[in-house]
Amino acid sequence: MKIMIVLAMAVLLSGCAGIAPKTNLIEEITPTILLYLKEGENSTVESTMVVPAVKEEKKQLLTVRSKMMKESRYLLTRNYYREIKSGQLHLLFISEELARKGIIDHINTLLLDQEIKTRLYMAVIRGDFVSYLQSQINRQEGIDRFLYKMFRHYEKKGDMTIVDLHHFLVNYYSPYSDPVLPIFTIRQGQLIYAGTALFREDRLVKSIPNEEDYIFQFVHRHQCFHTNIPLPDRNIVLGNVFSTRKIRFADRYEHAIVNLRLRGIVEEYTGDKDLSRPEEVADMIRDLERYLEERIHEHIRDWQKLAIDPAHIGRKTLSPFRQPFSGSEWKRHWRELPVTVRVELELENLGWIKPEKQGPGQRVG
Amino acid sequence: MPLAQTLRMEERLANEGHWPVWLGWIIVNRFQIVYYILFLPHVLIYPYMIWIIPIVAILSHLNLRVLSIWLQTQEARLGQAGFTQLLGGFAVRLLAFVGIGVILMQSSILTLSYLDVVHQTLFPSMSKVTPLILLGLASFYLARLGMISVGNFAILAFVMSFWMVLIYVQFLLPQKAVYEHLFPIFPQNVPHHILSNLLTVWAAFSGPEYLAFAGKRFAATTGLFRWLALGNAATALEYIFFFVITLLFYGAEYLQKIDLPVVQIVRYIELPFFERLEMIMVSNYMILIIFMNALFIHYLYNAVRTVANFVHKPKSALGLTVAAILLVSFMYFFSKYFWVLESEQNRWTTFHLWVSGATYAVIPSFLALTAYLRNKRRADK
Amino acid sequence: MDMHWLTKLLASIQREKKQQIERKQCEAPPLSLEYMKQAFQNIHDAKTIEINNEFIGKITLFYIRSLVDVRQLQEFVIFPLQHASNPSLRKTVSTVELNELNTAEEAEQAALKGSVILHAKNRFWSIILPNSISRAIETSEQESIIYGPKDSFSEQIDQNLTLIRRRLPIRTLKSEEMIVGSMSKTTVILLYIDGLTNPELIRIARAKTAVIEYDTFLDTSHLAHFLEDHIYSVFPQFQQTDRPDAVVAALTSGKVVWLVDNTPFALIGPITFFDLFQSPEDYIHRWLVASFLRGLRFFAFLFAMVLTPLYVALTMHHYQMMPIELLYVLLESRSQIPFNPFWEALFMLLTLEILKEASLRMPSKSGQTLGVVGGIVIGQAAVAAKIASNILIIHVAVMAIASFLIPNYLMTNSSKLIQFGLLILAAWLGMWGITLGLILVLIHLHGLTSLKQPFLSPLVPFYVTDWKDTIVRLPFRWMNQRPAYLNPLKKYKFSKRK
Repeated sequence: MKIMIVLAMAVLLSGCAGIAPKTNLIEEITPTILLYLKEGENSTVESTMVVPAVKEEKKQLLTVRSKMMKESRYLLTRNYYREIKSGQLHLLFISEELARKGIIDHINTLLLDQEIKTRLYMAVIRGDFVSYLQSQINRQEGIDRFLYKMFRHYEKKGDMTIVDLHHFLVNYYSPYSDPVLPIFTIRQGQLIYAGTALFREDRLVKSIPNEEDYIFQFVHRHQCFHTNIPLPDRNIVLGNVFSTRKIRFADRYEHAIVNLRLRGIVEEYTGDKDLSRPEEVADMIRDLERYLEERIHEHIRDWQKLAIDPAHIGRKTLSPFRQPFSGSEWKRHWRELPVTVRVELELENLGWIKPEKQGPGQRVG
Repeated sequence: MPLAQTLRMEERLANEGHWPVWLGWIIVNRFQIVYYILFLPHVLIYPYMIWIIPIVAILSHLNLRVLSIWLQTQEARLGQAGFTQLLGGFAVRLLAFVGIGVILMQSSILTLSYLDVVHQTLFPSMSKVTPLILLGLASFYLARLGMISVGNFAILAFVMSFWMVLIYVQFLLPQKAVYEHLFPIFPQNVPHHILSNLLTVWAAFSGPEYLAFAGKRFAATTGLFRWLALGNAATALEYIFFFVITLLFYGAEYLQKIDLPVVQIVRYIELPFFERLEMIMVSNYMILIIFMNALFIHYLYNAVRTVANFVHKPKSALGLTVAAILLVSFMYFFSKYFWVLESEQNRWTTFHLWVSGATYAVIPSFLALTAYLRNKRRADK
Repeated sequence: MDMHWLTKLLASIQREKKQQIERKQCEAPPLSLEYMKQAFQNIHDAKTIEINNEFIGKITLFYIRSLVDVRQLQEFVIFPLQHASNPSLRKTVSTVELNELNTAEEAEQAALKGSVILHAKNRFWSIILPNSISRAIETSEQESIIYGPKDSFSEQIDQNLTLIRRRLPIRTLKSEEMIVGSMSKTTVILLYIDGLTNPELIRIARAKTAVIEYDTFLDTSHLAHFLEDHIYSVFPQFQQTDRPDAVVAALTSGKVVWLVDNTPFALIGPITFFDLFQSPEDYIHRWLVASFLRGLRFFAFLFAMVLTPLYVALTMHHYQMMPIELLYVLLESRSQIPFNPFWEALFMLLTLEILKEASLRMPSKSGQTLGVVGGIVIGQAAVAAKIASNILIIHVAVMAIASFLIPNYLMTNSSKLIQFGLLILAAWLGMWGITLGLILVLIHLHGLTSLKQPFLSPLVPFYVTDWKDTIVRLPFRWMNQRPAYLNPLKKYKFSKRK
């Protein structure tokens, strides 16, 4: 009896207080996966959203122009007859022009929104993404889902730069590293990976093209596996490359040494060296090592000139007992720090089809 | 007396039975982490602040020693009558009156803070009154089972909440953790904010002082200290674990921007059939709040009986209901008038910090000292 | 408040009972032939036989033909009396037991229990010759197992007692007979092992049975309703079984068992929540397999309670929790349905319950057809008519099957009610509501008692050794102690230790 009274009171009281309006009913909302930000005129931002098609609707794109991020999402909702919810937002694309102007304001609102997950894949787009999306939607409706699956697959694979919101922000806030994002470009109606975009704070300052992206991956990751590394200048394609990087400091942090150990096989060689002779192989390896060291050193010099540290070498200065540089001190020190790059290349299999006659010390190919 | 066909509330309130001695560690552990576990890393931020936790844990350990000395005295074992013997009738009633205020404030602030987290994470559009009333109902439903059952419920609260720690273990692995975020772990110069952090962590270890009033519930208090110390150590380990994890995942600078790191970190987990596990985590947490409030309802009832001098009358179901309604209505009015603006909330949270730190520091020592002096006076006579 | 009222009522009932007995004794009519003839007026099968024997004199026999074994009567009583050769009655009918009767009430009761009333030499005697029609020993339909004994109880209490005593031929197995029910006069036998079972449990069991006041008891459940501590709970507080091996296992653990006449089910108490998930098959499989199956049952119980509410919570409040592919499938299917997920789920659950209940009442010839019709056709048709979505049908079907994993049939139905409650909470408050509902169920279980013992032992209060046989089933050799929550007088099962 008592319980009934208490329950009745509870129901009445909560009725007075206002029970939640059911705003998340799944058939009444439109969860969107993809958001594209582009610079508009008069310092506005154009947001484009791919709206999922349900119940014989056509899949479509919605574009709005506004000054602020949240305002744009508000306008997008108003432009469609179902409420647009960002709880399932998985992909955030930013145009290159907007990236050069700075993106942290837009991203901060995303972080504050409790609905949006931090595993949001981000990328910079070079080219006209809206018309690409429009053409894709006409051909295959699930373009946003396919893109999401592509990102997920490459994240697991590990040889492309795939960055989510969380990693971007960790690198942004930390003084010892700078954020990066992948760049995709639109060519002949296809979305193609075009390398890595390097950011200083939240502005895009440089992009590494796809052909040299492996250099960034080597220096950026502690351990990395590449299926193929074509080096056309040296007429060789390395395969199954497993790279390990070690960074040391010498002379009380006056000198940085980047050690790279690469292990792989030769997939294709079109040069004129005879790979069945050990001396020529050693030559070739030395030559490759020099080549790689030069290229990597060049890139690192570029980064130092631009005062960015995308490979987070600064983190390596920290140790349990010492913090030799505070954030700003490291930024100053990094610009002038001499860096030596040492590459050690081990080729496990030369891939050379051996001649039929076997001599001593030769393997059957 | 005819054998009752159902168990009446009076039977349950008549305080038969005891808590087993080892229950102390669960009660200590769950009471200590009840609120602070969610946001403590956000307060501590820097990796070298990690040492504050073991330092304060040792201080808390010593404090628990004093508490267990108090609990072993015969006045503590007598319960209500013991306090009257110790301090005199008037002082007991005065302190009980102060205690009513403390209990109401603590319980309101803790419950409303938890509801804030729920509001932020789960239901931004819902008013906080509905969950408040439901939590109050659940706490009353638990409280009506009697003090002994409420204490035993700690085991269930523990079982339902500790498995969440296992979800976090994956953040120790190299895929998600950046180990350099933990460096430097030893500070090079004296950090600022160290005193305010010490106070916060000390308040984070507070909670066991409420056991000082539950002396007669334990079956025996002679072996109690090692269990209290075990609970304290478990709390310290949990705090360190969560701090390390959030630091590894976020890094000190980013950690400053996130106000509920332990909840936010769960948002990153992606299972094949579920995402956004923080909704389950925050919901599971509610069992600690219900347990705490049920115990507070009983304490409130006892305190009101002391102040109003009804100690000699037997406990009744109506009295407990009144105490529960008092607690819930106080929380409701508090949330309506004093918990609206964010600045107000911050002030109340700071107030809560000071009050819990003070009660934890003062209550065990005060009671133990008074008992010691009384026994000394009696021995001299 | 109202609880005081209940105690007072019970006290007054007891007082009245005592007064009634005293009154009856004062007003009792004297025992005589006229009384017997009058008492059995209008009972067409009440027979009277008069035998004249030169040694003993005139002998009158009263009996009710439907209750008495007429062949035995003829063979052991009538024939010897007709050919008696000495005046001693006892020597003449020495093959049967003669009990002297003093009051009319005793005579009445004896006759109604299947005894023959003998009047000779101005004295009354009763001879117990009950009609032994009974069901043959069959397999249990509720708890059939593949390997293991297949006999089960029948409606005759003596037969049931025989099956138990054969498995426990020890002197310390005590059986106390009690009569409950003012009209049905049902025999209830309280079984326990003296020296093993905690005397407090026996005392509580005895006292609870003695206080029962009702007119008819047709089944063990009716008895259980009066013995329970908590009448408002959905969880059963006693275990009912018709397997003698389950009863013997319970007795040797230190539990108390009630056998009830005219029903094959025995009542076992005290039980815990975890006992409701145990099945005799667990002790037949290998211990790893048995542990896996038991864990599966617990998981299935939780799963069955929570699956549909989870569906409702996710579709109504937490669309962010679903993986993206599932979200799109749900969007497609739900967009064609005119109802809320809550109403859709409620409708499907109710339909399932209707089907389940109907299949119980159906004659077995049409049972299979309707099962197909109900299960497959209605489900498919509902999806095609866009009343329910595919995913919900799968959920409801999986839930229905999972709920049958629980060995205790009463629990299956209890969990259904909880499911409906969780459904409402899920629709109202989403994930938080489901957790709140589960916590309320947990608090409820925490407060339950079975024969005044806590229902959630060995979790609360915590007994370490009991966990060897709760969620997992460890090898027999490791389980050398009896369940600690029963506080048995002999803790160890092996006889070397006390």
